[in-house]
Amino acid sequence: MTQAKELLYKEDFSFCFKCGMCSSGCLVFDEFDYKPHEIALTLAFGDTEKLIANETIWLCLTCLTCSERCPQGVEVAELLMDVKNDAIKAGFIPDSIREEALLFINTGVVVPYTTASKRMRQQMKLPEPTKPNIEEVQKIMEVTGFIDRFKKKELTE
Amino acid sequence: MPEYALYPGCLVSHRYPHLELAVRKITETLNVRLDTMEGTSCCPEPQGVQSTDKRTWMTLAARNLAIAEEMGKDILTLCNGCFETLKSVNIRLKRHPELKEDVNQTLATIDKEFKGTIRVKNIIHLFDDIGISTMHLKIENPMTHIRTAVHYGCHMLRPSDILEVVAADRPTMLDHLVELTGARPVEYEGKVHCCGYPVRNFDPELSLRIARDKLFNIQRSAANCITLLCPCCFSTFDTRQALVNRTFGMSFNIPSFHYAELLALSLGYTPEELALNRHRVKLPVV
Repeated sequence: MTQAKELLYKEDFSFCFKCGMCSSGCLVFDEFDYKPHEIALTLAFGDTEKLIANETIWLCLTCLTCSERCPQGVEVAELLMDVKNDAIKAGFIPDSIREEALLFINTGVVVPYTTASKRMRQQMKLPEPTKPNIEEVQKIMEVTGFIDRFKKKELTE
Repeated sequence: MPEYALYPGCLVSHRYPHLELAVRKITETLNVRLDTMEGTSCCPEPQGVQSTDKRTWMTLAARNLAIAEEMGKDILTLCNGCFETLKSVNIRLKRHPELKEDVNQTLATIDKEFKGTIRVKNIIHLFDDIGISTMHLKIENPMTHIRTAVHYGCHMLRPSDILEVVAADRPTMLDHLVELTGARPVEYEGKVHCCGYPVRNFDPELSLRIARDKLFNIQRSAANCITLLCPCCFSTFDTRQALVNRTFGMSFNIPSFHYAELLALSLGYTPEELALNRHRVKLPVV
């Protein structure tokens, strides 16, 4: 399937026999347009286009209960992560995801260090926290294409 | 003296430094040395960043791992998210040479290399190294008045094969460590469920609803507080409990301990020394 899939996952989702164990343990089952046990079949029939454009894929909590329960060893949540990776590549990027990614690109962290953080740490007599080596982090993000995916021009804004 | 490379993570060091404080107090008492890792980035977090781009997630995690390798020390994490990312990337890269090669090609552009020479631990694994009996002798103030709902958090348990968790659907390791402090862990429904944190930005209402259901189950149990391991879960149950109450017309008043705080109290530290006033839901049980 995707590059990430080839890179990371040995699992073959064709082992899915649609028993529904994954869906029965899913806390956000009701919210999904494509239920966990339908994802493998959707991919097998080549409906990836519809799947990546569907916003409800972003409701996955990645609690990994589905992958843990599968009697066939299909890593359902991770399969869905591949789908989301593809969604990003195709430009379907939810606002909240874009926001976090830009924060990560700009600062190297996803929870920023603020004056409040500094004050709290001083009161507790804790040392200054480490600063990310942002040049190194951004260099890696450039090589992997992460920065490009969220459009370079937004960085300078 | 056991030594670790400390990786506090951005949520702990920037928003909940009192959790780092508790861990530093414990390690002081237990004679464990912590050296902070320098120049690290976000772990990167296993939900948002991994969902966005797995390769970036993996390579940046490998960079953080390489920093600890240069220090020659195992990593100690204070957050479930950091633990899952760093541990699972560490294990995957050790198991799959082709992944390691791919990651190292990218790391070469910043003169770093992932070698696979260290291990990744969470605060609860500290006691495997120190020995439970040593710990037992140091308990000065047993927390016998505390009955607590133990919340492990997803990324402490799953994927269980990679995180090396036995019986991930009925875990006990943290319950045993809670007992060590004198507190009593109580059973409740949905113990291994998610707290709802990951979708807080994408769908705030859904996130709060999941938190509400969890709090509801805990309220119905015999517990008078929650014990957890993760700053994300702490954010849900402590910082956002008032929001859950406002949104759904509930009146929960359930305080949360990070396990490090509970242990530090039992080791004899005072609530003031641990800055427990940073908790939104006050801790009347102290």
